[in-house]
Amino acid sequence: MAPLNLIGRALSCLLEDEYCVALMGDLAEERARRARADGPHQAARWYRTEFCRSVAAAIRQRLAETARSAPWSLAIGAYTLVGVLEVTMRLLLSRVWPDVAQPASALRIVVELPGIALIAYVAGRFDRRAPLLLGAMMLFAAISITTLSTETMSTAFIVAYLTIGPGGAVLGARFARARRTPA
Amino acid sequence: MTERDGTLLGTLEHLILLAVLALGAEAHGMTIRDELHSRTGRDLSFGTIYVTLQRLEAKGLVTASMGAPTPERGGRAKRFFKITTDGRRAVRRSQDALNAMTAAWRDARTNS
Repeated sequence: MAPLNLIGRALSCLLEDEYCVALMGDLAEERARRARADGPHQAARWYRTEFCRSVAAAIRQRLAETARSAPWSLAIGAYTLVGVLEVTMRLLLSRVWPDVAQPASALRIVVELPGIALIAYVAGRFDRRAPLLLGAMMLFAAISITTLSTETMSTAFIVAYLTIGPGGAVLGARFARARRTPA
Repeated sequence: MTERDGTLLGTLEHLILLAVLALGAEAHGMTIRDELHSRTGRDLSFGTIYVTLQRLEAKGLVTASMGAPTPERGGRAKRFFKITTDGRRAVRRSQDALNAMTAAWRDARTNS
Protein backbone atom coordinates (compact mmCIF):
# COMPACT_ATOMS: atom_id res chain seq x y z
CA MET A 1 0.00 0.00 0.00
CA ALA A 2 1.36 3.47 -0.93
CA PRO A 3 2.29 5.64 2.07
CA LEU A 4 -0.30 8.29 1.18
CA ASN A 5 -3.05 5.65 0.99
CA LEU A 6 -2.03 4.47 4.43
CA ILE A 7 -2.15 8.03 5.77
CA GLY A 8 -5.49 8.49 4.01
CA ARG A 9 -6.87 5.57 6.01
CA ALA A 10 -5.70 7.27 9.19
CA LEU A 11 -7.51 10.41 8.05
CA SER A 12 -10.76 8.52 7.52
CA CYS A 13 -10.54 7.36 11.16
CA LEU A 14 -10.18 10.95 12.37
CA LEU A 15 -12.89 12.62 10.29
CA GLU A 16 -16.44 11.69 9.35
CA ASP A 17 -16.90 10.46 5.77
CA GLU A 18 -18.38 13.74 4.45
CA TYR A 19 -15.53 15.77 5.96
CA CYS A 20 -12.96 13.36 4.59
CA VAL A 21 -14.46 13.63 1.08
CA ALA A 22 -14.52 17.45 1.30
CA LEU A 23 -10.92 17.58 2.53
CA MET A 24 -9.66 15.27 -0.23
CA GLY A 25 -11.62 17.33 -2.77
CA ASP A 26 -10.05 20.58 -1.53
CA LEU A 27 -6.59 19.04 -1.74
CA ALA A 28 -7.26 17.81 -5.30
CA GLU A 29 -8.66 21.19 -6.40
CA GLU A 30 -5.73 23.13 -4.92
CA ARG A 31 -3.27 20.66 -6.45
CA ALA A 32 -4.82 21.15 -9.90
CA ARG A 33 -4.65 24.95 -9.45
CA ARG A 34 -1.00 24.78 -8.39
CA ALA A 35 -0.16 22.41 -11.27
CA ARG A 36 -1.42 25.03 -13.72
CA ALA A 37 0.47 27.84 -11.96
CA ASP A 38 3.73 26.20 -10.81
CA GLY A 39 3.96 22.91 -12.73
CA PRO A 40 3.07 19.32 -11.80
CA HIS A 41 6.18 18.58 -9.72
CA GLN A 42 5.74 21.57 -7.42
CA ALA A 43 2.03 20.74 -7.13
CA ALA A 44 2.75 17.11 -6.25
CA ARG A 45 5.25 18.18 -3.60
CA TRP A 46 2.74 20.64 -2.11
CA TYR A 47 0.08 17.91 -2.11
CA ARG A 48 2.26 15.44 -0.21
CA THR A 49 3.30 18.04 2.36
CA GLU A 50 -0.22 19.40 2.85
CA PHE A 51 -1.69 15.91 3.08
CA CYS A 52 0.74 14.93 5.86
CA ARG A 53 0.24 18.29 7.60
CA SER A 54 -3.52 17.78 7.56
CA VAL A 55 -3.30 14.29 9.05
CA ALA A 56 -0.81 15.44 11.71
CA ALA A 57 -3.05 18.40 12.62
CA ALA A 58 -6.11 16.16 12.82
CA ILE A 59 -4.29 13.67 15.07
CA ARG A 60 -2.97 16.46 17.31
CA GLN A 61 -6.40 18.05 17.71
CA ARG A 62 -8.07 14.70 18.36
CA LEU A 63 -5.47 13.84 21.00
CA ALA A 64 -5.91 17.23 22.62
CA GLU A 65 -9.70 16.83 22.70
CA THR A 66 -9.44 13.33 24.17
CA ALA A 67 -6.92 14.49 26.76
CA ARG A 68 -9.08 17.44 27.80
CA SER A 69 -12.02 15.14 28.44
CA ALA A 70 -10.02 12.42 30.24
CA PRO A 71 -6.84 13.53 32.10
CA TRP A 72 -6.65 10.15 33.83
CA SER A 73 -6.25 8.29 30.54
CA LEU A 74 -3.49 10.72 29.60
CA ALA A 75 -1.76 10.21 32.98
CA ILE A 76 -2.02 6.42 32.61
CA GLY A 77 -0.56 6.70 29.09
CA ALA A 78 2.30 8.82 30.45
CA TYR A 79 2.88 6.32 33.28
CA THR A 80 3.12 3.53 30.70
CA LEU A 81 5.69 5.61 28.81
CA VAL A 82 7.70 6.01 32.04
CA GLY A 83 7.68 2.20 32.29
CA VAL A 84 8.95 1.93 28.71
CA LEU A 85 11.61 4.53 29.53
CA GLU A 86 12.76 2.52 32.56
CA VAL A 87 13.09 -0.71 30.57
CA THR A 88 14.89 1.09 27.73
CA MET A 89 17.31 2.81 30.13
CA ARG A 90 18.12 -0.47 31.85
CA LEU A 91 18.80 -2.14 28.52
CA LEU A 92 21.02 0.71 27.33
CA LEU A 93 22.86 1.08 30.64
CA SER A 94 23.48 -2.68 30.92
CA ARG A 95 25.75 -2.37 27.87
CA VAL A 96 27.72 0.72 28.88
CA TRP A 97 27.38 0.97 32.65
CA PRO A 98 26.30 -2.40 34.12
CA ASP A 99 26.50 -1.31 37.79
CA VAL A 100 24.04 1.52 37.26
CA ALA A 101 21.67 -0.74 35.29
CA GLN A 102 20.85 -2.78 38.43
CA PRO A 103 17.19 -2.63 39.54
CA ALA A 104 18.05 -1.13 42.95
CA SER A 105 20.49 1.50 41.63
CA ALA A 106 19.78 5.04 42.81
CA LEU A 107 21.91 6.52 40.01
CA ARG A 108 19.77 4.82 37.34
CA ILE A 109 16.70 6.57 38.70
CA VAL A 110 18.54 9.91 38.68
CA VAL A 111 19.56 9.30 35.03
CA GLU A 112 15.88 8.79 34.18
CA LEU A 113 14.89 12.23 35.52
CA PRO A 114 15.13 14.16 32.20
CA GLY A 115 13.06 11.47 30.44
CA ILE A 116 10.37 11.57 33.14
CA ALA A 117 10.31 15.37 32.99
CA LEU A 118 9.98 15.25 29.20
CA ILE A 119 7.07 12.77 29.37
CA ALA A 120 5.36 14.92 32.02
CA TYR A 121 5.97 18.03 29.91
CA VAL A 122 4.32 16.46 26.84
CA ALA A 123 1.37 15.28 28.97
CA GLY A 124 1.14 18.77 30.48
CA ARG A 125 0.91 20.35 27.03
CA PHE A 126 -2.35 18.44 26.54
CA ASP A 127 -3.77 18.85 30.03
CA ARG A 128 -2.21 20.67 32.97
CA ARG A 129 -3.69 18.13 35.42
CA ALA A 130 -2.01 15.14 33.75
CA PRO A 131 1.58 15.64 35.08
CA LEU A 132 0.31 16.05 38.62
CA LEU A 133 -1.75 12.87 38.29
CA LEU A 134 1.35 11.17 36.88
CA GLY A 135 3.42 12.39 39.84
CA ALA A 136 0.80 11.14 42.30
CA MET A 137 0.72 7.72 40.60
CA MET A 138 4.51 7.47 40.69
CA LEU A 139 4.65 8.50 44.35
CA PHE A 140 1.97 5.93 45.22
CA ALA A 141 3.88 3.21 43.33
CA ALA A 142 7.18 4.20 45.00
CA ILE A 143 5.67 4.16 48.51
CA SER A 144 3.96 0.81 47.85
CA ILE A 145 7.11 -0.84 46.47
CA THR A 146 9.51 0.51 49.11
CA THR A 147 7.23 -0.47 52.00
CA LEU A 148 5.93 -3.81 50.71
CA SER A 149 9.08 -5.19 49.06
CA THR A 150 11.08 -7.76 51.04
CA GLU A 151 14.28 -7.05 49.06
CA THR A 152 17.07 -5.04 50.66
CA MET A 153 17.20 -1.45 49.39
CA SER A 154 19.80 1.22 50.10
CA THR A 155 18.66 4.50 51.65
CA ALA A 156 19.92 6.35 48.56
CA PHE A 157 17.71 4.17 46.35
CA ILE A 158 14.63 4.70 48.53
CA VAL A 159 15.15 8.48 48.62
CA ALA A 160 15.74 8.60 44.84
CA TYR A 161 12.74 6.36 44.16
CA LEU A 162 10.44 8.49 46.30
CA THR A 163 11.59 11.86 44.96
CA ILE A 164 12.85 11.55 41.37
CA GLY A 165 9.60 10.31 39.77
CA PRO A 166 7.26 12.85 41.40
CA GLY A 167 9.98 15.53 41.09
CA GLY A 168 10.31 14.87 37.34
CA ALA A 169 6.54 15.10 36.96
CA VAL A 170 6.45 18.45 38.79
CA LEU A 171 9.37 19.71 36.69
CA GLY A 172 7.55 18.72 33.48
CA ALA A 173 4.37 20.40 34.73
CA ARG A 174 6.29 23.61 35.43
CA PHE A 175 7.87 23.62 31.95
CA ALA A 176 4.49 22.98 30.32
CA ARG A 177 2.93 25.77 32.38
CA ALA A 178 5.75 28.18 31.53
CA ARG A 179 5.33 27.37 27.84
CA ARG A 180 1.56 27.90 28.06
CA THR A 181 1.85 31.24 29.84
CA PRO A 182 2.06 34.07 27.31
CA ALA A 183 4.71 36.77 27.60
CA MET B 1 -23.96 20.05 23.02
CA THR B 2 -24.62 23.75 22.55
CA GLU B 3 -22.85 26.88 23.76
CA ARG B 4 -25.79 27.97 25.91
CA ASP B 5 -23.84 27.27 29.09
CA GLY B 6 -21.81 30.45 28.57
CA THR B 7 -18.54 28.75 27.58
CA LEU B 8 -16.39 31.02 25.43
CA LEU B 9 -15.12 29.86 22.06
CA GLY B 10 -11.52 28.84 21.48
CA THR B 11 -9.46 31.19 19.29
CA LEU B 12 -9.57 28.93 16.24
CA GLU B 13 -13.30 28.24 16.66
CA HIS B 14 -13.92 31.96 16.98
CA LEU B 15 -11.88 32.79 13.84
CA ILE B 16 -13.52 30.05 11.79
CA LEU B 17 -17.02 31.10 12.81
CA LEU B 18 -16.19 34.70 11.86
CA ALA B 19 -14.90 33.46 8.48
CA VAL B 20 -18.13 31.46 7.95
CA LEU B 21 -20.13 34.62 8.76
CA ALA B 22 -18.01 36.75 6.41
CA LEU B 23 -18.18 34.30 3.51
CA GLY B 24 -21.93 33.66 3.71
CA ALA B 25 -23.10 31.16 1.09
CA GLU B 26 -19.51 30.63 -0.17
CA ALA B 27 -18.20 29.23 3.13
CA HIS B 28 -16.45 25.90 2.52
CA GLY B 29 -13.08 24.47 3.54
CA MET B 30 -10.94 26.13 0.91
CA THR B 31 -12.53 29.60 1.08
CA ILE B 32 -12.42 29.54 4.89
CA ARG B 33 -8.72 28.63 4.78
CA ASP B 34 -7.97 31.37 2.23
CA GLU B 35 -9.97 33.94 4.19
CA LEU B 36 -8.08 33.14 7.41
CA HIS B 37 -4.76 33.25 5.57
CA SER B 38 -5.41 36.58 3.87
CA ARG B 39 -6.87 38.27 6.97
CA THR B 40 -4.70 36.87 9.77
CA GLY B 41 -1.63 35.45 8.01
CA ARG B 42 -2.20 32.05 9.63
CA ASP B 43 -1.38 29.19 7.27
CA LEU B 44 -3.66 26.48 8.62
CA SER B 45 -3.80 23.00 7.13
CA PHE B 46 -7.05 21.66 5.72
CA GLY B 47 -7.00 19.04 8.47
CA THR B 48 -7.05 21.72 11.17
CA ILE B 49 -9.94 23.53 9.46
CA TYR B 50 -12.05 20.40 9.00
CA VAL B 51 -11.49 18.96 12.47
CA THR B 52 -12.58 22.31 13.94
CA LEU B 53 -15.60 22.54 11.62
CA GLN B 54 -16.61 19.00 12.54
CA ARG B 55 -16.43 19.95 16.23
CA LEU B 56 -18.44 23.15 15.62
CA GLU B 57 -21.11 21.13 13.80
CA ALA B 58 -21.23 18.63 16.69
CA LYS B 59 -21.73 21.57 19.09
CA GLY B 60 -24.60 22.85 16.94
CA LEU B 61 -22.82 26.10 16.06
CA VAL B 62 -22.76 25.47 12.28
CA THR B 63 -24.81 23.36 9.88
CA ALA B 64 -23.26 21.67 6.85
CA SER B 65 -24.52 20.61 3.44
CA MET B 66 -22.83 18.89 0.51
CA GLY B 67 -22.53 20.65 -2.87
CA ALA B 68 -22.32 18.99 -6.27
CA PRO B 69 -19.24 16.90 -7.18
CA THR B 70 -16.90 18.58 -9.69
CA PRO B 71 -14.23 17.09 -11.99
CA GLU B 72 -11.39 19.34 -10.74
CA ARG B 73 -12.00 17.92 -7.25
CA GLY B 74 -11.67 14.36 -8.53
CA GLY B 75 -15.47 13.93 -8.49
CA ARG B 76 -15.72 14.95 -4.84
CA ALA B 77 -18.25 17.42 -3.48
CA LYS B 78 -17.65 20.58 -1.45
CA ARG B 79 -19.07 20.84 2.04
CA PHE B 80 -20.72 24.20 2.67
CA PHE B 81 -21.22 25.66 6.14
CA LYS B 82 -23.78 28.02 7.63
CA ILE B 83 -23.73 29.49 11.10
CA THR B 84 -26.68 28.67 13.39
CA THR B 85 -28.46 30.93 15.89
CA ASP B 86 -26.44 29.30 18.69
CA GLY B 87 -23.29 29.95 16.65
CA ARG B 88 -24.12 33.65 16.25
CA ARG B 89 -24.84 33.88 19.97
CA ALA B 90 -21.51 32.18 20.81
CA VAL B 91 -19.60 34.57 18.50
CA ARG B 92 -21.32 37.60 20.05
CA ARG B 93 -20.55 36.37 23.58
CA SER B 94 -16.87 35.72 22.80
CA GLN B 95 -16.60 39.03 20.93
CA ASP B 96 -18.16 40.90 23.89
CA ALA B 97 -15.74 39.21 26.30
CA LEU B 98 -12.78 40.18 24.07
CA ASN B 99 -14.02 43.75 23.75
CA ALA B 100 -14.54 44.04 27.51
CA MET B 101 -11.06 42.75 28.27
CA THR B 102 -9.51 44.98 25.57
CA ALA B 103 -11.26 47.97 27.15
CA ALA B 104 -9.90 46.94 30.57
CA TRP B 105 -6.38 46.76 29.11
CA ARG B 106 -6.79 50.20 27.46
CA ASP B 107 -8.02 51.67 30.76
CA ALA B 108 -5.04 50.21 32.59
CA ARG B 109 -2.67 51.63 29.96
CA THR B 110 -4.29 55.06 30.16
CA ASN B 111 -4.12 55.11 33.96
CA SER B 112 -0.49 54.00 34.17
